[in-house]
Amino acid sequence: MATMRFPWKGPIGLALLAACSTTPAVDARVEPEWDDTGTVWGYLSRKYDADGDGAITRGEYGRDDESFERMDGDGNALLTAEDFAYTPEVFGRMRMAVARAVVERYFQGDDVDDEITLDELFVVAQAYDANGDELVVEAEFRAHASACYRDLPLPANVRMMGEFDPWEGVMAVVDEDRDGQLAFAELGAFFEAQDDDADFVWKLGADDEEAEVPSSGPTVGSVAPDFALTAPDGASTARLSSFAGDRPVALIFGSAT
Amino acid sequence: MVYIREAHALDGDSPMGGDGMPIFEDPVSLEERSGIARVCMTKLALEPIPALVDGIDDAVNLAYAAHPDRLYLVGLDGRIAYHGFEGPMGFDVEELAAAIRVELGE
Repeated sequence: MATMRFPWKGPIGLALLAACSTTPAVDARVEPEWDDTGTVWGYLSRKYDADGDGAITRGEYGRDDESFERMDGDGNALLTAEDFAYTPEVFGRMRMAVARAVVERYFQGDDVDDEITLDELFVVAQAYDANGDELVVEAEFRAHASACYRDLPLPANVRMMGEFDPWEGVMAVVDEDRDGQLAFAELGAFFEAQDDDADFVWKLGADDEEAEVPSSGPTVGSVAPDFALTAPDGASTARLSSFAGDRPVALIFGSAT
Repeated sequence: MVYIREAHALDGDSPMGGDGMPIFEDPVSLEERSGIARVCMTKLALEPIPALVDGIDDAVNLAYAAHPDRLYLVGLDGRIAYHGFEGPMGFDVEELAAAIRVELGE
């Protein structure tokens, strides 16, 4: 969840906690650490690799089997650094969407239509590859990016990411060996991974999630589902319905990630 | 704020972590989720906003179809006055602010 902005000032009906304290304070010993600069494997190995052998067994992990199996990418019943080596899946759908948006706009070629083919991708890659070594480095990309760019609307899920640098956006996902160079083979692999029907063609805008967002949850005019929840420190609780007739309540649902 | 299930827990369906994104596992207890909520409120300077933590059964999250993030306004009459679309694309604080002003008659 990104840092939120609150443009309104003055007294407004935000939720207030009722002072009906019935629950004990939360054990402060479980205070987690906010780490946004480390690595997932670093976090997991410090926490679970009790014998320090570089592998986390189910016994060492101790949490649910479903999560263990989800993380055990190679299925060897151990969590190791290899399970968390750079893969597009680790970086999530949002970064994949950014990388795809970059390729669609910077590698489309002269045939400006609603699709991009694998052949077009490699033709444009060759245009970037000034020294012909089948590797596109940052300087080569930036030298030709403006000329190759096609101004297409961004899908909603990419717009949500805000401004991004196209080279960094594509490298974050496509540069599998993390050598700082965009190999033709890596471009091809990314294209094929996104080519669901294996016809060597991308339909532009096919990954636009905006149209897929359904409207759900309680509708305007319906009675708000009641609930009673506890504050993060465990020292107090509040019931939504207790505010009816007193003040409106803004509900902001979210999480740290 | 109602603190709900992590959107991108490292062991979840859409794992992320590091490189600017906080690294958290999906909590398995209210205590664990509350701990992350406390850290989040402090780290993002959200402490002026009263916060509550959804139970580990995600009951309120499910009732409001809130995952991964969402905004609602409950009016004086206890009915939904504003219903934002699902986040992140539908998470629009300007819309919520406008709905609050309408509800307060400003």
